Amino acid sequence: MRSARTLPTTIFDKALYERRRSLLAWGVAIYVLILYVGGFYPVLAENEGLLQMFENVPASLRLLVGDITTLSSAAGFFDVELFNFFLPFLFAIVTIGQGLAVVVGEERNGTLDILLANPVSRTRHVLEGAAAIAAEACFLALVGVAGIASANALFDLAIDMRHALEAAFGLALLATVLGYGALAAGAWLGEYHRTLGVTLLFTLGSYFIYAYANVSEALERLEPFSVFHYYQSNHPILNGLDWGHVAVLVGVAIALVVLSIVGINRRDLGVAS
Amino acid sequence: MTTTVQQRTPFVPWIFYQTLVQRRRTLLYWMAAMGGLTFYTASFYPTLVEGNQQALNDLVNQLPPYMEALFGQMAGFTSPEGYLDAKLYLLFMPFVLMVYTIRFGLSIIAGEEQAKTIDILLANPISRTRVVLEKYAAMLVATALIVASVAAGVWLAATLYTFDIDTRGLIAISLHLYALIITLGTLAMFIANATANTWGAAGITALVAVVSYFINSFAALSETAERLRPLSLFYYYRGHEPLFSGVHVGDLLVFTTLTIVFLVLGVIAVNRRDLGT
Repeated sequence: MRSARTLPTTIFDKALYERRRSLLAWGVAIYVLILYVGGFYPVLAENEGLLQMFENVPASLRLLVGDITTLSSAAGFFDVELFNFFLPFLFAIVTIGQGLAVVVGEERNGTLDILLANPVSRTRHVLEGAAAIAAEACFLALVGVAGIASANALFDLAIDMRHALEAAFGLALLATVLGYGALAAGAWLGEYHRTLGVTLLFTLGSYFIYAYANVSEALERLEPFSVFHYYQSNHPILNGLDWGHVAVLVGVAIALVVLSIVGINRRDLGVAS
Repeated sequence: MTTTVQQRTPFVPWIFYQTLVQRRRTLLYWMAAMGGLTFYTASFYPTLVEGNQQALNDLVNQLPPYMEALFGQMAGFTSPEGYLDAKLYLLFMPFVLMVYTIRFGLSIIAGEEQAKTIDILLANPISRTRVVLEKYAAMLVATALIVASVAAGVWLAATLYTFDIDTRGLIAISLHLYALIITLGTLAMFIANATANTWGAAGITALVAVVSYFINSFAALSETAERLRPLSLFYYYRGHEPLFSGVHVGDLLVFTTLTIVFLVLGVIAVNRRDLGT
């Protein structure tokens, strides 16, 4: 039995406490994935002719074959194989899950009214939930940095750790924004599946615009509306963060939290039936 | 005097219908969105390849074979199949469409538990097994419609923008894609049926997909990775390049076997567990 003292007493603590095991599992999975991918770079690098060839790909072809020009460094390899899709994908599962849990998840379980029967305002509930989302994203980002540092040490990848830190920070920021998207959608819509649907549309739409902008002018014009564009278009693991992009993401995050607070204070919340 | 004749009620798969009717709007959105995205992406093929064909072929001829594992079938990059393979079927389609089947799989029992509707549903004179099987059948049909609309998007783009696409390859990759995402959806259903933890089930299934993807795409890089390849679902999905060489019955059999195993386990799990109400 846990003593009452060690049980969580705030919404923030509760959110992290309930997910402590799954967070640990995600951390281990992400760490191992980074080592697995890192372990393959030396095989690629053994072939020097190949690496030179990557650097000489004419610009007209880059549209078609994608970012292989950057594969001549381990950082470029990580950029293409991990930061482009898989790390955001895994991070987003965690933060969107938490974003849903804070409002619509509690409503669906019929526990939100019990929580709010405590002397905690709706605003505070949302703010602490938002803090938990950011904390989880940061935790996973730190695991990512540890993974890259270990891969560097084990396989001599020579990835600039400053860039790794910046890329991980950008990743945490993107994941936080996606989690806040779920939070805001939930605060306004209230129904679990509709909320998840809207969040998926936002996330996948952003990804699609970014990923296919190089083949379509129409999508290229839409790029300013894609959060993925602000996360990845500067390729932070190669070039470091574009702080202008960071500012946009921070702005979007704040706007989404404000939207969540307005939404939850206006709505008739679902209660246990 | 009248005698009442006991008649057996005819079998009507009400839950199957109900599931499809309930999800009709979501299904239509998915079909329109995925068909539309596919059409849109495929329609760029002619403009991208024009004038680049020779340079591309030169580049591709220098590449070692394992690069294909990382970026799709590069030898065929200048062909419509190669373009679609790399731009759509390598990564985007499986990872987006699995979101649909995983969510569907979770909704079959665990979703009804969370919505607190499972007891009402099971108050009807129907077994848990039948509920699972009918809703599962609805998942098979709905997913088939989405995969078909993706294939239709490719076909329409090829017709309107006049490039040739190998119909046999298109059907083959669609079948392999369908088998992959159904297997993942069934796995998610099994885990959720056994644990009632939907988000955990989604996470584990997504991890299986990601690990599968990496095992398959790095297989050509080393012998160790090559040996791991049979463990990867993506190996059975496009390891034999169905878009270029047609259906591989062996791969589809692996998916079918796994799906049946997960389905049976899912039915057993739901019959043994104390369902939340």
